[in-house]
Amino acid sequence: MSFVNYHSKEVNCKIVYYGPGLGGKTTNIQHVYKKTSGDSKGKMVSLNTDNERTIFFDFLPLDLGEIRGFRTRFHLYTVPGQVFYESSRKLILRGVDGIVFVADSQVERMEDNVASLKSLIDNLEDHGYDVSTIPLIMQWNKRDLPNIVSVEEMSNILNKYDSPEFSAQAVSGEGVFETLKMASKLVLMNLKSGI
Amino acid sequence: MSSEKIVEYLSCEISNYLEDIENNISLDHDIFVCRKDGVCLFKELSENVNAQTVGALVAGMWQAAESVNSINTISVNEYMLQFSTSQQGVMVYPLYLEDEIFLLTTLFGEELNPGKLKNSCRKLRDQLVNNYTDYQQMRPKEISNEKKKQEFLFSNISDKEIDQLFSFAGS
Repeated sequence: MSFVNYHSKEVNCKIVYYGPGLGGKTTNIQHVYKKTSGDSKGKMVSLNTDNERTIFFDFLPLDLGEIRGFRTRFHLYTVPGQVFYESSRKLILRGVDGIVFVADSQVERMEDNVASLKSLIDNLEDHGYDVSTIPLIMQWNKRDLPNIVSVEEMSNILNKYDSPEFSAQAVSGEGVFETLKMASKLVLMNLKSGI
Repeated sequence: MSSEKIVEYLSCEISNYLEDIENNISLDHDIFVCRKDGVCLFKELSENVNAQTVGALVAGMWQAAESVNSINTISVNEYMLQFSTSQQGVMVYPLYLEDEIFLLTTLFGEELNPGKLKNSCRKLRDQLVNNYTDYQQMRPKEISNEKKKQEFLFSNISDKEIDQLFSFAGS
């Protein structure tokens, strides 16, 4: 849940990167971390195994400057993608303001994409979110690999809520910031004033 | 009570508590209060300790422990979370204000008497809860703003504004 401090003119928002295991969630925020200047980012925290599989979450705080007089801070999280970390994924979704669903474009991963999306929807509903209105951005990652599903088919199968969608190649950074910018825009526009 | 008022309350109460040397929480220890989602509300941290990082980790740690322990029915308010040796570590106490839980955390090192520190933290937590009612009564009543809460803070954010926001970052 976003935190707006009117006294200090600060906004804190939470964006979660969700998707199947090895789909590129961690790669996305690693690229964001690498390309963000020192003053604008905090320390990136990765709770992972010895072979760098996320076990609990990755976390990256971004302090991006001001928009309409409000200092904006984004807290980026990724969830572990492996199937048996379902409980952890549910915990990390608490208080989320926007989601980036990172899908793996390879043909053989489509079943995992569908299962992961179903898990996301179920967990959001369990937390009381309206899935049709929460900011959700779809990323079709790994567009550089052979044997991938067309963008049109990815959209037909996975984009159930007419969400903005972006093609990406997170390992090179292509599409990463475009996705994050759209997520940030939708999250900010979805903030309630409360004054 | 709004988050801003809670921030103000915590800052005032904890600062007063720490000034009282009877309370035995050394200013060398790090004190931190965050919401359950990790957003920092109060901090007295060393320079090398990042509030956002600590908040995210403490919140994750607490929620994971709570989830593992969900078979028990004892109120969460009775729990505390501790990860420490006999001299250093982290302690987390849940702090209930109105219907919301906050996490009172201390990071300590070189502590000769962690039991005493634990007792002091518990006292601080209890004081924060007990004094909150008096604090609320002293504040002018907030006008209900349920209707205003439905309005959006920002409208029609342009792509140019977003690009400017991300101008600190490379692409």
